[in-house]
Amino acid sequence: MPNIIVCMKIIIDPEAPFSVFKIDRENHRPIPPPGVQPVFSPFDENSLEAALRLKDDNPECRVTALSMGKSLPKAILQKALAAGADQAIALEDPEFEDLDPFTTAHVMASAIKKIGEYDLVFTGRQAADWDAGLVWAGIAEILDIPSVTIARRVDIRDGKALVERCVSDGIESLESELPALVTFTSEGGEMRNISLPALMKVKRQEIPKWSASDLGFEKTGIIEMRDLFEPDLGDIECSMVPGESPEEKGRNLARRLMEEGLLPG
Amino acid sequence: MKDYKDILVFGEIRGERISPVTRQLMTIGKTLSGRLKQDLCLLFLGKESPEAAETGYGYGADRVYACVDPLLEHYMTDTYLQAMELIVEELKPRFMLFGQNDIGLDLAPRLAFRLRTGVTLDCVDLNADPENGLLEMIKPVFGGKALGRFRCPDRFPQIATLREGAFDPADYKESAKSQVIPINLSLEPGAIRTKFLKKEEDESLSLALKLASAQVVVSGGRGLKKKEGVDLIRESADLLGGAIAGSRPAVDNGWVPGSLQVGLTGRKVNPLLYMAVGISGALQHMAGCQKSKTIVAINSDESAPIFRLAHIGVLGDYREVLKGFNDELRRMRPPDIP
Repeated sequence: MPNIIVCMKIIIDPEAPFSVFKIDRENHRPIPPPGVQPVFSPFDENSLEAALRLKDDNPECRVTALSMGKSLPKAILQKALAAGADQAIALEDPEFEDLDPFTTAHVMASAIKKIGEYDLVFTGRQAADWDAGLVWAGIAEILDIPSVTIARRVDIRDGKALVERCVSDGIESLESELPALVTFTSEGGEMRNISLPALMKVKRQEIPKWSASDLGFEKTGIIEMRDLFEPDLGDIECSMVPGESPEEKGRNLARRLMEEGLLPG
Repeated sequence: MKDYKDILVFGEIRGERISPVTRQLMTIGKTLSGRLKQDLCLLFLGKESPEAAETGYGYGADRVYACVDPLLEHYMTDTYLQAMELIVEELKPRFMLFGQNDIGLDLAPRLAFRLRTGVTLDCVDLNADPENGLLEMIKPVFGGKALGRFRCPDRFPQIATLREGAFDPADYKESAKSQVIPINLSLEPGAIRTKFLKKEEDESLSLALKLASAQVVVSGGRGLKKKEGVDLIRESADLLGGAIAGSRPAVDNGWVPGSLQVGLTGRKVNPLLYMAVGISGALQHMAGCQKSKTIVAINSDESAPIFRLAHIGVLGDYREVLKGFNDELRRMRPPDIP
């Protein structure tokens, strides 16, 4: 019975407008914008979808959503269950705030060991908050299992994982021994729609909570953040192309690019 | 920690030449080596020593290494990881630099965890402090809404991957040196848990290659609204001798293939002219095109952030704008063959 553990980070909605994004420079962290709801990191949703597709084809698969943070809104964890995960586990502790990727990887790996039986560990290619792209590697190294990154699909055949990896000029097919860790890119697929009845059904499902003391916890300090600052976006003044109609503006654009020598050749 | 010295660049070959990102790494590598007064080394891994390896000296390397083994034919995490672990043991580099690409984003983090040292991916700037000999790494975070400055205080080697286009590629200068130093390893096939089966080149490969070298890129986003919109941007691109691309929503909707995605997690392009059609200007996207010489925005939403990031803006329905644009291009530059 293949067991799939999907690591799902809950973050500030990356789609929230730039104008509401503010940083606390002194403490090197963003200030959660008021009124913006936290969400699963999008690449983690892609990896849950990839796990659910594997379960569609192999109904005996068991999918566990594993999330970690200072406080994990139950309503978001329930989305993973309503989408089709068999269980969700919350690694929740005030200690789990603003951890570096190295420490995070240790906590996640301890939780996976505590779960015990697993064949596949799925993560997003990177979380859409810090964009570090490191935790997966730490988990794989600590568990000492093979890994394949930036995948779009996984199948299980003859006790091995067949993985399609999206590289810049095509698709690589790889075969990996199990257990293995796979990271997904957006081509893993958008997370399926959740129906209201499905959401109602999981309301009473228990979500176990594990704390730092359940997992053994030690901050590593391998990397330190020295500063967090806003980018200098330059001072571009956009010059608008005039015209009576959009079509005329289009013609004017072509003429202007030609006159200013901006068209090559 | 005094053991660890010199800067080692992970070299890649593309089309018989040292790849653009490797040459960019040589540029920043040279700056760092000057600051620390240490050597800049370039390393190639593969099933044979690439002919272009010796040109590494022309791009500023003090030493060029080649590690050759039949097991290194295809990039595979377990194989390359094993090789790099042995190479680090042998060369003890202070800094190791990779390109942020299919290999770098995979190999650099696992290597760092294996060696219990620090790594930062997708850096846009690197600096070295001659006082303490530490690498300072600057990378965009929160989809480019902020930048973080990171340091690994006491572990070596210090590892970073560099965003493509962050630096200009090193210029080639004739060099008297040409000796590529072989590194012999005995890799353990038993430790390789993954097997390479095949690589299917995307049907869009030729488009992707075109995009990489295009002087004009016409790119579509969510605002295209439907797949047919791609025909219009393709028409413009053809008239301009350019390439098409898309933002992540355009890829997620299946309008353009994933290999043509421009942005933080896609390709980085820097053409002379980048036309953003129906693209709102999210920083995730701009991370892939902001180095373009001229950015033109076509959008029907007056408040779209793209109008604060582009040099030239056109407000209006893209279908009508591009119709006028394409008609005028045809009028001004009739095709060679009627």
